Order: sequence, then C-alpha cells, then structure tokens
Amino acid sequence: MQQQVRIITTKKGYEEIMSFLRSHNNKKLTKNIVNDTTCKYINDIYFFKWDNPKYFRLLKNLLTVIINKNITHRVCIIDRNYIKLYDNTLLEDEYKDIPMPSMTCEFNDKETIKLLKQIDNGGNENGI
Amino acid sequence: MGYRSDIRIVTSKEGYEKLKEFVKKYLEEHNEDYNLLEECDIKQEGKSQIYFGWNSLKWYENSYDEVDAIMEGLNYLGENEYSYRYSRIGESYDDYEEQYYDGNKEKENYLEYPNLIREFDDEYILSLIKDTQEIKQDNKEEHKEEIDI
Repeated sequence: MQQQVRIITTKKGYEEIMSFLRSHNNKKLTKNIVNDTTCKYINDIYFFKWDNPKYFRLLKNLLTVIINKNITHRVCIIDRNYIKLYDNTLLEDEYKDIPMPSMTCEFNDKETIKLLKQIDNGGNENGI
Repeated sequence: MGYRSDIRIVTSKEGYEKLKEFVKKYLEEHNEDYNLLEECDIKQEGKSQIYFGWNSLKWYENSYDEVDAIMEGLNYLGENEYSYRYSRIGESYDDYEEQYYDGNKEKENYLEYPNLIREFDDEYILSLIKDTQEIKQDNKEEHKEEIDI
C-alpha cells in the first residue's frame, strides 16, 4: 500500500478531528473520512485507520491539526517508502499509556522479481 | 528457538560465481560442510542478476562459519569491484540492516534492491488497547474493593 495513516487518541482528540472536519461544512466529506471502517471506539480510546485515502491532502491538514494540539495522540504515517511517527502524552491524561501503531516488515519477493523482470524486458540489460 | 532473521541478496551472475567460489574455499578452510548457497529458500536466476535468500535463519555473525562465509564473501565481492545488495530483517521491529556496493566493472552497473512491504498490524494494536483498558478497569475495581475493606 502506498499511503497509510493511523491515529490513536482520546475523546478529546476525536472531538478535535470532528471539529476540523465540520469546519469544512461538508457532511459527505466528513462521512467519507470518519465512518465505521475508518474509526473504531474501544474503551474510551479512538483508533483511526486510512489505507490509500482518497482525501490524502485533507488528511495531511487534519494530521497537522492533531499533531499541534495539546492532546494525547499517537500518529503513524506510511507514505510510500517514508515512515513518520508523532506522539504526545498529556501527563494529566488518564489514557497516557495508549500504544503506538504497530508495523510489520517483510520481504516482497514477488515485487523484487517483477522489478528485475521489468529491467530485463526493456530498461536494462542486467535484469532477470 | 533463538533469534531469527530473513535475508535477501542480489548479485550479478559473475559476482555470484565469485561468491560461490569464495564460500566453498572459506568452508573448506574452516572444516564446515554446510553451505548456505546450496540451501536457499528463494533463488531467482536471470540474464545477469541473481536474487536469493533465506527465511527464519539464525543469522549470527562470528558464531556460525556458514554465515561468516557469506558475509566475508560479500566483502570480498566489494573489494573486487563486484556489486551486491544485502538486506536482513530481524525479529525485532527496529532490526533492519542493509549493505550494498556498486562495483565499477562492466555489467556491475545496476542491481535491483530487495523490496520490502511495510504494513500496519491493526489487529495487534486493537487487542492491545482492549487488554490495557481491561487491566486498568480490573485495577480500579481491586483498588475500590481495598478501600471498601
């Protein structure tokens, strides 16, 4: 997947996200970004996930808002080959030990072999 | 069990032959029969590049001669201007290692890099959130009982 975003935050963070989205005055947009697939609520913790989001630029603005607000949050973004992590913990916050999004990393043999074959079929004489 | 890693290497065809020679010689010198190059979990040969590697291996340098043979072999390739790409993913989340060399010999100009997939492990995190909050709830109740007593 090219672009993936995860946010784990508290009720306060959720309210900030909704407030940001409402400021666009577009209910359809809000529903597209926050719905049952993208948002899970577990024991007072909000978990957001977006995979290859259609509104990535808007999400970037939303992330800027969340990251700069004084709320407890864990944010992780995979943007092609780059991984960015942000976190903030309010000392007075009851949910200060919320986890960081976890990631798996493994070799993509199919893709490597595909790339090597592509080189072979045109780009470079060295390929497989 | 022990700590395990996945390893992927790309060399030129000529480089691979040199590596094979080096590894064979190294293992003979160290009285070791086990040759990892004959036990690859993945191996794809092409016109000029070879992609190969192993899954879930105890890749301990300076402990296993068969591992040292490969690592020394890669150094040997670099010293002799053969290109190579080497990547290792360990079990720990932050354990990723990469080595590469671009040789200046003809046909050693460009080698592909082993491709990686990075994905979020959402199920793990959701279960972690559930567990953490349940433990918190239990602790609260225990604390409440203590106060009641």
